[in-house]
Amino acid sequence: MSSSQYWSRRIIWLLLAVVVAIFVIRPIHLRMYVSPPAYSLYQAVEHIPKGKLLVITADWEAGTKGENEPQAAALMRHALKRRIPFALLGINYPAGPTLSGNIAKRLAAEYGRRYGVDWVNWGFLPGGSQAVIAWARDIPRTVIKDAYGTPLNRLPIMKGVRDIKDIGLLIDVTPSSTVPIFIDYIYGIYRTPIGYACTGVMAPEAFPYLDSGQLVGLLKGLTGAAEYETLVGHPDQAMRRMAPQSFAHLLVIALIIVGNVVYFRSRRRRDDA
Amino acid sequence: MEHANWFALLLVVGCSATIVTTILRARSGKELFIRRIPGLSAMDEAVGRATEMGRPMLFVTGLGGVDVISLQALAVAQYVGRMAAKYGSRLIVPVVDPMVMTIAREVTRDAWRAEGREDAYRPDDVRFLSGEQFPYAAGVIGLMNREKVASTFFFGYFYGEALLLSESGFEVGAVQVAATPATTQIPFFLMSCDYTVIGDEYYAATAYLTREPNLLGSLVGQDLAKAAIVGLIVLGTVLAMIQGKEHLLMKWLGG
Amino acid sequence: METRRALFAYLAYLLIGIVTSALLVALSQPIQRLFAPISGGVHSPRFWLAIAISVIAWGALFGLLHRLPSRAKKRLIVIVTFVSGLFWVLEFFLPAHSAVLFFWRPAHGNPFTPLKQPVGYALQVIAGFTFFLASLNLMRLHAGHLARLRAGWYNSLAFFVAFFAMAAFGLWAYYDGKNPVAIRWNTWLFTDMYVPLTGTMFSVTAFYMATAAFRAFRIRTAEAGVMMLAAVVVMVGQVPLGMWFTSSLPLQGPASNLRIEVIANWLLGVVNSAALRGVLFGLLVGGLAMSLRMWLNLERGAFFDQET
Repeated sequence: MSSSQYWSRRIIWLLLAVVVAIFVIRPIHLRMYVSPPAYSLYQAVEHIPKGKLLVITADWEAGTKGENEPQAAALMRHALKRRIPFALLGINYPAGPTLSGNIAKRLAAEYGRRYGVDWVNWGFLPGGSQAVIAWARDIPRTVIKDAYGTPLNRLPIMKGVRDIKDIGLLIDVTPSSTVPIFIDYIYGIYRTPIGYACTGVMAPEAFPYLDSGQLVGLLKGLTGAAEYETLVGHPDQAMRRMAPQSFAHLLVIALIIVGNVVYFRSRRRRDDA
Repeated sequence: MEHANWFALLLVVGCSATIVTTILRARSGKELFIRRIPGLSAMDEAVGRATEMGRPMLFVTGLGGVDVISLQALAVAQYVGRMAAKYGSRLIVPVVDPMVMTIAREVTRDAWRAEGREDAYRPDDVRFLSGEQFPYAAGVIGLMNREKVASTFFFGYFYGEALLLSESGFEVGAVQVAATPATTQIPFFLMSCDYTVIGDEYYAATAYLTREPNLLGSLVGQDLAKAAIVGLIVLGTVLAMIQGKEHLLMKWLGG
Repeated sequence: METRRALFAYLAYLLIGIVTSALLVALSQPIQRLFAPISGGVHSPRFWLAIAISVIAWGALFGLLHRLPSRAKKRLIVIVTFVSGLFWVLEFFLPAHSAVLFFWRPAHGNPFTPLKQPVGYALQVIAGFTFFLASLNLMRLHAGHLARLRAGWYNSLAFFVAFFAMAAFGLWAYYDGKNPVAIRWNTWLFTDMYVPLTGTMFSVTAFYMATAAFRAFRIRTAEAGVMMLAAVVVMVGQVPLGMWFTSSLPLQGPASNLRIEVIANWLLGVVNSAALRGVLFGLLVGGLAMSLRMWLNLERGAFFDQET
């Protein structure tokens, strides 16, 4: 690597760090416009039939906390605010239910909601797609105990919850490709609505499913979380991070322009020589 | 779907029959054409560079478990391993899945054995780093920097760590060849790698590198199957324009 | 000659497949009973008897396999691969219920479907063993570095400390969830160390993204220019500051289509989706072809031996 490349990289990193740091330390409020996919997901949650459960999967882990945590928090806040009973379930990362459970505990305390009555953490279910198929057929026999070791039959929220027909909506919060499993085996067989909250980089892959109606809604990364916070009426960590993200995007665009200017100038110099 | 409907059965059986037929026909000795894929052509160059510089190569098999994608990656790893054994170079294969590690060990050992260099084979060069995404990425980046690899090969399914790995390889000055079926990571590899293999060129890798008639015949079958799917798409589009979303084909497909 | 050999080979596979499938179907109930959880768990003598029988049986089987000549081993691998694949093919492609096909079954249900779960459990157990093997490999590697005090030996020491600390406190907190020491240490190691470290690794992506964009995005051709414009529109249309640029345009009506977030969503939802679908079809057909070649032992060249 040449000296100029070495130093230009460090300068760019410093610029990015400074831009992000400025707006983290001195946040500014930006008006959020909600995209149709996020609005559709919000409406799907609002219209969950009474008596049915919302399932929010905890298929994320510490690495993607920056994007998935605000999404999970916004969804849980919506459910707790509107008193929609929800369950957490992980099929991909064992640590996911723990991380999501911590968020749910914090938010439930804010709204005075009770564990086992307003929400439950089913924990991690190993076995991938086979586990999902078995879970859809018989939830209590597949999950058996919650994430904290309590038998499900002792939890009031589980009264009347037998199988997938008792689930009103399933939202997959994940940075990985677990949503095809739910689309194949849950929507494909039982027509249970599926929502998707993914990291920004995975969002383009979700649009074909959204277009075909296999997904009812989509939250795209941190922006999706901020949109959802706006809809729920409680701007939180995602909204606070919108300003740093916005200026970081503009910085990257500026860098692309500068890079191309440098490139064209050096090309012209070579042509002249 | 839990069990196939008649359309899925027809489609899979039809595509499979086409592929098997073209494979069997390819054995008859007919020369089959495959277009040039720059990324795969560059693999020999990457191995040569590592040999000249006396530095090791790195072959990253992605985050998948034991599935078709990882097995394809290991097939290419064996090809690279054979070249490494032939030229006396070193190939490090860090893996994220323990089952893939056991298979990778056998595959690379076979490569060295095939070149008569089993004594030079280092089993510790195929190592399990971590079962988690970012610890694995951190381990691979550390390996790249400590071993000062001359060439890196990214073959397999990647997620967010794709850019981390490829940029680290760029920093170290390695020649990088990437091939992944993960459509979301292709842009990152295109930016940071010298050569990138896109889409179903990934599955053509073994056919391209070995020129085995079976594999080339399979590619022909795949192309025919894709043509049939394109035909269905065109038919569906025309029907949708005439009859709307709930058209005849949708009803037949059971969608 | 080769075609006749291939034909005989496939007929042999088919026969083996039919016999094995028939056996699986006939023994479906006993297999399910065999893999049913043993009541009483670790406190039941049946549990320990089952462990002992499994260890002896598998040890004997491995010993037998080890003694087989190489050619026989390859044939066995081919047969096992074919039969294993056949199970999943039959389970998926045969209907869930059929009074004609499954006439002998009480509810005319697919006989392979109840076997999916025991097979899934078996695969999980195998995965567990390989994880143990991989961890052992890692420890052996780092122990070697430490013993010889190779360059960077302190990293190997850090590995051992981290590995055993996390395992010890994690298991302690799991089995004794009320112990304050266990909880404090587990929280400190996982929530306060591991979580921020992995988050940091992911956040490095943003920095690499910036340098890669500066270095690699060059408008060398007209197509590259169009792609660049689309990328800029999508990037700007995803963030509130970008949306502010066109916020003066109405939210409804034809003029709303010129709002940057609307254009960005159109690019993602229409243009991008079409391209992705095309790539996906190619990948799926390629995956099908590769799976078929492996299942029917049609793979050749690197990695796969000649057909016997």
